[in-house]
Amino acid sequence: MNARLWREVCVGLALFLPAGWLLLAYWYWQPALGANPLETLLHTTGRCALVMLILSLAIRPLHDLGALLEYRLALFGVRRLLGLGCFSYALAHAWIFLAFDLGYDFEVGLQEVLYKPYLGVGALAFLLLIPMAITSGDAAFHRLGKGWFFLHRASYLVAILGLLHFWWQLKPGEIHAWPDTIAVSFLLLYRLFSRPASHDPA
Amino acid sequence: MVWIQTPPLIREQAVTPERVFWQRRRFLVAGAAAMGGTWLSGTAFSATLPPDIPDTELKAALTPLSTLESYNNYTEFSTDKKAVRHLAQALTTHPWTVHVEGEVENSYVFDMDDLKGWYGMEERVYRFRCVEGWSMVVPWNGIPLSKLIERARPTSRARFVEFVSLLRPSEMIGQRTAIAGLQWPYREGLRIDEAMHPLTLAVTGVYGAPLPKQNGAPLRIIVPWKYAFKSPKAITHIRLVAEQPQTSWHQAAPNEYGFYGNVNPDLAHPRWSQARETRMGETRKRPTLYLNGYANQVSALYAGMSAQDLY
Repeated sequence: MNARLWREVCVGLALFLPAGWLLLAYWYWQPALGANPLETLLHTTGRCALVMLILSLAIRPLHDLGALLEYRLALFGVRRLLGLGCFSYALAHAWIFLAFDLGYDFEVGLQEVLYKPYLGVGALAFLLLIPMAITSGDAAFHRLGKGWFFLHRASYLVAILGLLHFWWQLKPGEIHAWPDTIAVSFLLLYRLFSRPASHDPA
Repeated sequence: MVWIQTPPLIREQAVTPERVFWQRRRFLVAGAAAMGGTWLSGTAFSATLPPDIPDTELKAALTPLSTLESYNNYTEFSTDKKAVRHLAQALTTHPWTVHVEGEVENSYVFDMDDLKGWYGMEERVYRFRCVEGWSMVVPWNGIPLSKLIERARPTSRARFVEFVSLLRPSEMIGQRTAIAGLQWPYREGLRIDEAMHPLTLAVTGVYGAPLPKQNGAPLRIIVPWKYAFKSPKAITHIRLVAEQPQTSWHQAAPNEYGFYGNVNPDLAHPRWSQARETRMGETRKRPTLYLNGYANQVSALYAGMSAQDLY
C-alpha cells in the first residue's frame, strides 16, 4: 500500500469515529446518548458536518504556509475526504431529522422547510453539498476543469448557511455557535485577502 | 371552581398494547387538531373533547429520576443543561422562607417545615413539556397551590398571582450577568383562576423525596398544561396582584415567550414547530397534545380567547 492511500484510509477512519460512536451507542447502550438521544444524534452529526467543512476550508491557508513542501499536494486528498465527510454527516443529520423528528411525514416536512427559516437554510445547504459530493472524484475533476473550482466555491455559501441553521435553532442566551462562526469568518476573510495559488484557485 | 377529578391513586396497571397506544395518540391528535381549528377561529369552545389519557398509561411512562436530575433548564446557574446539576449544588435551601402577600386580607410567611406541618403531600403524575420541544412524565409531590392562596384570603382586587424566584448571585452563578437578556430575579405569573385550579401544584418533592436543587428546591410551582417556563423554581414570594404581572422570559424575548404559554401543537414557536415533542429517553418524536393532554380539565378557563392570546 502506498503512502497516499494509507494516509487517506487513516483520515477516513478518523472521520468515521463519531458516526461509529453514535451507531454503537444507539444500538447497544442508548443511555450513552444522554437524556435526549435525538438531540445528541442531531447535534453530533450536525456539528461534525460543520467542523469537517471548516477543516476543509482550512486546507488552503495550511497549503499556503508551505512549511511541509512534500505534503502540500497530499493536503488536497485530505480536503476531499473532509468534504465527503461533511456530506456524509449532513446526509445522516438530514435523515435522522426526517426519520425521528418528522416520522417520514413528507407533507409536514415540506411545510416546515418552506416556513421555518432554520430548516430552509439547512435544507438549502444540504442540497448544495450534493453536486459537490458527486463531482468530488478525479474523473469529474479532470472533466470540469476550471468549472470544478467554480462549483466547489459553493462550500463558502454552505458554511454560511450552516452557521445560520445553527444560530437559528439555539435558545436565547446559548453561545455554542460562536467558535464555528469565528473560524468560518477567519477562513473566508483569508480568501478575500490572499491571492489564489495557480494550481488551486479555490 | 369546578372539581373534575380527585388526584389519582396508585392502581394495578395492565400493559397497553403498543398498537392501541399509538391509535389513541392519533385519535387525540385528531381531536386536538379539531379543537385547534375552533380556537384559531376564536369561537366558543366545543363540547367534543378527547378522553383523558388514563393514569395507568402515564405511570408506565415515568421519566427516570436520573434523567430528571441531569437535564435541566435553570438559567440562574447555566444555559448548559448538563452543567446545572453541578452548579446548583452551591444553593442553600435551608432555611427558606416564602412570603404570601399582596391583595390579601391575611398576608403570611412560612418556611418549608411549616408547610409540611400544615398539609400532607400528594403524589401527582404529570406530563411536563418544555417550549424547546422535549417532555417528561414526572411524579411530583406537593399540595394544590389553591390551599396556600386561600390561606391568605385574597380580596376581590386579586386578579393575578405573581411568583418571584430567589435572587442570590452569591450562589446562583448565572445571576451575575443578564444571560439571554433575562433580568433577575426570575418572575412568573398566572391568572387567579389558573392559580386556583386543582391541577396547579406547589411542589416540594419528586419520587417521594425532596426536590433536587437543580429541579427547583425547595419549592416550585407546576402548571402542567403550560410550557415549563411557566413553572417557576425556587420560589420566595407568592403575590396576589390586580394587574397582569411582567414575566421574565416574556420581558427578555417577547415574540418567543408569551404570558399564557399554553401548550398548543397548532401554534408554532416563531422559529420551530410545536406539533411534536421528544419524550426523554425516546429517539422518535411524538405528537404534542393540546394543552399537554389536560384540555378536558382546563379548557373551560379559556372560553372565547383566541389561540394567539394564549401563546
